[in-house]
Amino acid sequence: MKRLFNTKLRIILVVALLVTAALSVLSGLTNRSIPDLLVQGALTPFRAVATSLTNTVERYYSYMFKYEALEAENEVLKAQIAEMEDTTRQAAATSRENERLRAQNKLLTTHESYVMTDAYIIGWSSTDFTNVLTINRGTNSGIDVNMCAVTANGEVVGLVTQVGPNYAEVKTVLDSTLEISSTISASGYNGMVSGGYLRGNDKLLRMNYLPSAAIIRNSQQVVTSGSTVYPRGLVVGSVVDAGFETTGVAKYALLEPAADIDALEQIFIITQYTTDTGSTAATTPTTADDAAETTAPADTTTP
Amino acid sequence: MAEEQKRKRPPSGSKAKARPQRRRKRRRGSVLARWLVDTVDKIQASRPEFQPDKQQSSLSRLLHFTKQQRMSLLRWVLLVLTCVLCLVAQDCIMSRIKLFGATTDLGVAAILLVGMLEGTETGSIFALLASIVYYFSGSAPGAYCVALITVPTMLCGLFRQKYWRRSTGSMLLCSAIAIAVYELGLFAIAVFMGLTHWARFPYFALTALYSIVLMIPLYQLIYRIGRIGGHIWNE
Repeated sequence: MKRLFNTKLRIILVVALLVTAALSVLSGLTNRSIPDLLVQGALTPFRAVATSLTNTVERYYSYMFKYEALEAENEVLKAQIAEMEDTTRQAAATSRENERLRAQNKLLTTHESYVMTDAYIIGWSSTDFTNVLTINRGTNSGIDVNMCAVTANGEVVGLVTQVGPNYAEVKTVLDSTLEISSTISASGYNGMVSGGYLRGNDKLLRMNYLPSAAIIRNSQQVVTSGSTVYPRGLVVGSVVDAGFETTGVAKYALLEPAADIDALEQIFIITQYTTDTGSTAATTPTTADDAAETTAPADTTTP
Repeated sequence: MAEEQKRKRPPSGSKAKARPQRRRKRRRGSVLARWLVDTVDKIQASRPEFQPDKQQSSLSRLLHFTKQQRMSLLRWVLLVLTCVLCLVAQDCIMSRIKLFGATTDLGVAAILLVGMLEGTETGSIFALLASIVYYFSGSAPGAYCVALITVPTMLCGLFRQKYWRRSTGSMLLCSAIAIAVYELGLFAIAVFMGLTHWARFPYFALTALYSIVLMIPLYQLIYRIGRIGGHIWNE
């Protein structure tokens, strides 16, 4: 073995180790290098074709073998729509009441408007500890790093972490390294949401840093608190479980992601969003966060 | 008979007459040869004695390949294409198919198989280059995959070369060991960097297992491509 391990092999070994070190340093310095753009740019058409073919086959398969399941799902969805229409009617009444109260108390109103770009998913990461999607749009379509990705229904998918001319990588909410500042919409409790992979829940999200006195109920919706990256009020998920941290000073909640990440085909990237403050003219509060705190109802119900 | 021989044999007097004619012919030939030699000498004298090889060759010469070279080129093109297709198939199809929470690593499996098939030296160089491309493709978990692919390819190739004869079984076994080492290394680095936890080990082991199973049909394809242009295996 020692004799077989000749000079040439030793050189290859040293080069491999040096390249590994150099690439590690390079990836720390920049997340968009020329070889990245070249290789991924060249692979994007192949990935797009392969994904398109797979989706077509999947659609035919579903049509042929899952027709009854789809029919049953359709019935359930119809019932859900009817329920949601009823909720919308109630929400409209609440909204009118809210506007009246805002005007009465001279509170500012905020309107957020988004500019979105649609994109199709062409690749999924296969490493166990990462959850990254590759989409078929990039800088040519106005997409840039740190832009928020959502579904057609405004459910958070993730964040753009790397971008090339014709592709972009989106780190999903299931990835443990992505943290989103969020609020339980019903109670107004704030916390940080990240993927639950590291705590043994790879399909769930974990909302940390909740007050130990917080009352958390199942099925409560969690939305984004609003930041420079994520607009306010995007649905992150709904509570499925809660408990105390090991330290006992804070609570955590497990959430089911609102977006079905594994079943996604198309997503939308929010390329621009603006927050306009209304002209109801008031002295307090002045910022969107203050307004949110003022309007967020305090949940006093028992679990 | 004796009379016939006498007729054929020229008389001694005629022999003496024929010689000057031959000499005249020889002289003419030698003049021509001398003129040719002189001309060549003059041409050679006009040029320097030492002529270096041409630095630039014509396009037709550059593009000219022998049959063996053409076959070798075709083989490498097909092997690279197979690796690229495996990588794309992994990203677009296989990563969505999860059995017991684990998926395959088809791209790495293809690189390891080609590396193993091409022998230790060529295979290691191929594994090094392919792993760099794999890293830049965005599918790799990190830069450490360059070392994690190249080193097992080299070590398993050396081990096979030293102790086993080249056969489907030995190649597959060494490739299986290489991918198991890769997944184990990946898991160890991920644990060290805090990206995963110990409880996820079975998933990495399952990924290695699925990849090994997929290696069997993949090896048949890569072996057939590797046979293009005849066996060039030298150990």
